[in-house]
Amino acid sequence: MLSKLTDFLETIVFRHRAWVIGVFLACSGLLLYQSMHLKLDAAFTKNIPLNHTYMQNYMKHQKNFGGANSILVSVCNREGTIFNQNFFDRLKDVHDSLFFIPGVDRSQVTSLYSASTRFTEVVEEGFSGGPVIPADFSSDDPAALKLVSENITKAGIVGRMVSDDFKCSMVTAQLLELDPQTGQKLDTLTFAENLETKLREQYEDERISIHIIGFAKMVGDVADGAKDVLLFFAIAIAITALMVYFFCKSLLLTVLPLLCSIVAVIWQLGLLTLLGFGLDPMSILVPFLVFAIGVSHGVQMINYVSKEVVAGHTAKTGAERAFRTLLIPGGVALLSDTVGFMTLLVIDIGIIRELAITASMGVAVIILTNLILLPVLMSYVKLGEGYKLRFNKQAARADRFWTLLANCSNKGEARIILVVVAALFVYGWYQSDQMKIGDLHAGAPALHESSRYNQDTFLITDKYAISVDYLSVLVETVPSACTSHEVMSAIDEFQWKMENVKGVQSAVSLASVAKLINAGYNEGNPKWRVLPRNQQTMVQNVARVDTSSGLLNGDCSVMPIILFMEDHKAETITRVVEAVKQYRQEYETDELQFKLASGPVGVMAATNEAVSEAQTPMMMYVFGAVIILCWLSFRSLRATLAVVIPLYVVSVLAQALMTKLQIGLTVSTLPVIALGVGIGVDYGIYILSTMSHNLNQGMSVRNAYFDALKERGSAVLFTGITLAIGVSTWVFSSLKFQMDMGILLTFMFVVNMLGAIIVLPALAAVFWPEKK
Amino acid sequence: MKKRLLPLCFALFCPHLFAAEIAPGSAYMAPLASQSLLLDIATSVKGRLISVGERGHILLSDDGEQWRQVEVPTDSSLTAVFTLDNHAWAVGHDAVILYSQDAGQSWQLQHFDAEKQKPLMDVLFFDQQHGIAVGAYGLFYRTRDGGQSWQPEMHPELLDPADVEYLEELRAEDVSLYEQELSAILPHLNRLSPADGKLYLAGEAGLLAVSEDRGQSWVPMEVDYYGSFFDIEQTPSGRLLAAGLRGHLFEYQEDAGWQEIATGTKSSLNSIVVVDEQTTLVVGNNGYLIWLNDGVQTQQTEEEKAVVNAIPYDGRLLAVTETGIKVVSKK
Repeated sequence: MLSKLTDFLETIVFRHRAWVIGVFLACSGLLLYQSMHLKLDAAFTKNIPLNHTYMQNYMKHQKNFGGANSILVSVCNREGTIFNQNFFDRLKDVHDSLFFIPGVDRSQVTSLYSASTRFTEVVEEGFSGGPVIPADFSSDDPAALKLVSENITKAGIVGRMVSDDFKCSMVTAQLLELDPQTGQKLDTLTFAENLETKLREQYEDERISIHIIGFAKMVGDVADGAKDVLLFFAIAIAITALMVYFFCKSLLLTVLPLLCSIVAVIWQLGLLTLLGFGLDPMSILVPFLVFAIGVSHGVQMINYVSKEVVAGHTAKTGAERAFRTLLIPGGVALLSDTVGFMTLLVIDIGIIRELAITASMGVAVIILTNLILLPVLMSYVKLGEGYKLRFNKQAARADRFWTLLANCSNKGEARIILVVVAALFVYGWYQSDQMKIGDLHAGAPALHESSRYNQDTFLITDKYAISVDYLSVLVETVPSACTSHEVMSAIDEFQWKMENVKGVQSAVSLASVAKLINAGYNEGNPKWRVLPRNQQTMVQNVARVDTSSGLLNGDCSVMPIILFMEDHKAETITRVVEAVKQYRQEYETDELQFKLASGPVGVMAATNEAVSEAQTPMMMYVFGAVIILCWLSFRSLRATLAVVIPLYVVSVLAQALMTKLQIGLTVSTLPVIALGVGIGVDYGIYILSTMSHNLNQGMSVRNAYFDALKERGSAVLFTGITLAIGVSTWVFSSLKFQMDMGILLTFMFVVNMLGAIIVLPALAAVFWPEKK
Repeated sequence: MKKRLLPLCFALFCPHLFAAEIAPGSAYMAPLASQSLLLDIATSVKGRLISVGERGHILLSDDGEQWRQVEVPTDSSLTAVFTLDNHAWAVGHDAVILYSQDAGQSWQLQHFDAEKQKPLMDVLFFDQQHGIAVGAYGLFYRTRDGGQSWQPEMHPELLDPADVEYLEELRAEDVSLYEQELSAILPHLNRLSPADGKLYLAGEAGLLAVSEDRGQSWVPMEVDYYGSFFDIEQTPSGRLLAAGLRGHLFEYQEDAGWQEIATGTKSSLNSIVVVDEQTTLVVGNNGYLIWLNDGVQTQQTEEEKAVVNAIPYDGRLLAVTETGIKVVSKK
């Protein structure tokens, strides 16, 4: 039935070659135009598993407590303390400029200059207090600076708003998810650019340094780094072109597959825009991948056509035969790539889903460009006698290598290979079991440790007592519960237990602040730093805390406990989250719940959990899809196993490599295995489709394999190497996650290729024993 | 910015939340106890140090460096500790009094009264049997049996002179109302300090008093300051000092009464520490250290965290602060 379909398609396509080319031209023009409008797009919510319980709690209370999307700007004096005119003027400039950057929630900009930054002191008559920077402050008056210095100490903001060494001061802002005027989504990348142009460029000089951190800034830096990808793209195209030329020894044959692959990329980008998607920095590598996959299938095509031409056929006949022969294996291979990528849709994280859509669409497009357009274009090609001569020489050299390689399918060698593979598998299994979930390194994991962003992060966490790595436990209770000693002391005790958990640096909640205020009402005497049992006194204490502190909502039915963490390594997060789950049992009642989680580390905790939960189903789906597709095309259990077993071993080994290289399983590395399996299966399908045809005709395994190598071997080898070289350039990326992906994909491509030409024939030798 | 005001009546809607069954609880054994808010420190036998603080934390050390937390049958914050041979008493919030007869290793509850909503601030024993404990709103307990039982006492002689007349009138009208009012109007009693057979007391609203009969009766001392005093202490060289709110430090002169010593700080001074024969140290909030020998020298610790008390130990000065035990020294 399938051959009828291919015959039918062949007739249509090759009778109307000009039409086909015309349609492709028109579509390409349209999609090229569309792809011009493609935008880089990064949104905070795309990076988080929105349906995870933690994130549901986070979204529920986001309105009251802002959330994880904040920006910290530390203004530092390079020499000396902050108490001089130059510094205070600059700090004011930074505060004002940040205030006016679109996307900033203006009610949530805080610094020494904001009116909400107040001090309170105890005097004989009770309390006295005021703004840390008085209204009549003038920065050129040394006495005024001295007063501010005293107020800073009284306000207890050293370590939060002023660095411990008094050399830096912090301006913080919360970001709005939607612009209140236009209702548009916050454009994170423009915002990040504004931070550079309107803050850093304006105000950093030889005396003052500006350090900016926060999710939006990180994404901006990632997007900047992602622009390097264009360079890698260029390098990869150049290398690939050279390799294709060495492979086919013909300029024209080099240009055609490259051209068709670029058409595939254009289509993919255009379609993305048409569907209303942007390109996320995380998925910017996909076009690259699409190009490489396109070339590898294109090479199969030119390889086949060349062989036909050398055998004496015309280019048109060769192209027709190539189309008919390769449409099924090529289509199945590409379809399994597509399905492999689609399995990523099960992961409930926006950017992984986008990656799934982007990649599967790109690969699906290759079916059109490289399995239809390419043979049509090739049918016009004229190959001279010189080419045929060169081709034959090369083929003779290759044959000697294929003879050697065909030994893999000898019984003896096959046993040795399989024993080695089994040993590797056991080792890999053991190692992969220790693979870590989440980010293993300090700072923003997407960026290198030496990047400006991470250096700024290290500076800020070093100089201040705050950390960007915090997790909020949301205490949900009944309205006005903050006046109850019972509730408040439950919060206080829980908080103290959490502070004692390794990995928690410090913590703050309404309860801990209320204790400070209670001491304040008692003449600042530390002996009164307790939660009063008297309800009126408690009311008096908490009434001094404003909702803008982020420690309570309007009726104090929700009170977050903010845990500042030493780092965001997965094991730290797990330990702290487990401790929360354990300790909260002692305090929870129907009306007092300690809910996980908000804050950046809360998001990471949810992401880590989502990623680790997604891992097994994703592997099951991707392998399930590959198995079904192999079964459909070969109709043989043996053939299916021969393709899938090497793939599985390689994916386990890839996980072992992650353990060895300390690459954690994250949003960016999780898709790699699915991508690797999806693409890796191509080699096996190409080799085995020739082999199984021969085997069905009664040929011995060795001969069938040798035949397959002669026909497809060079293209398979070439494909593996080309793909590997292409992705290996990512190792030089300024983005850490691209580097990790590059390493892993290179490994998957090369080792899967080796699996297809070494392990697959060995398995075949066992599965199709010679009939005596 | 909108200020939140919490209507008291909210509490009426959920009374079960506020139903109090107050138990003394027990202190949570926390790895960070030695870095938590500590409020007093004392030496016991054989170089044993005992420090007490928030959440019922009691920590012991035998070298001033390694601290270990011990089990305590309360989680109320402890404000003071007193040692006599291998006996020790600690007092604190919820009028809690704890007793140890093994130099702080194990503790029993002698008194607990959370409903009173008044903390004890200091405790002192004259011998193994006789002791007193004082606290907020004139809270005053005495024991004659080593703490087996504690009897409350009222000391109206500690009242602010301005309140005396009003209360006398009240007593004439209604004795029970008088006692109720007295227990609310009496000043906080912050520190007891024995010297030369006398007993001194520092308290709220300019209260400095002296007793010659182990605290049965008190004579307020005249001082020109209406802020609170947190400590009163006589140095080995015979100087009588009182320290209080907002950097106020006074010295008693036989002929001229209490005279102020300028300290150069507006932070409250928590304790007066006798360092050696010549040197006295006054410690305060925001890390203020005021060294007194021939002159006055005011410093601030690097951390600028409240120092509540200190004790000379093994050639060093160990301070209890809001971030735990710290060694302080003169710069």
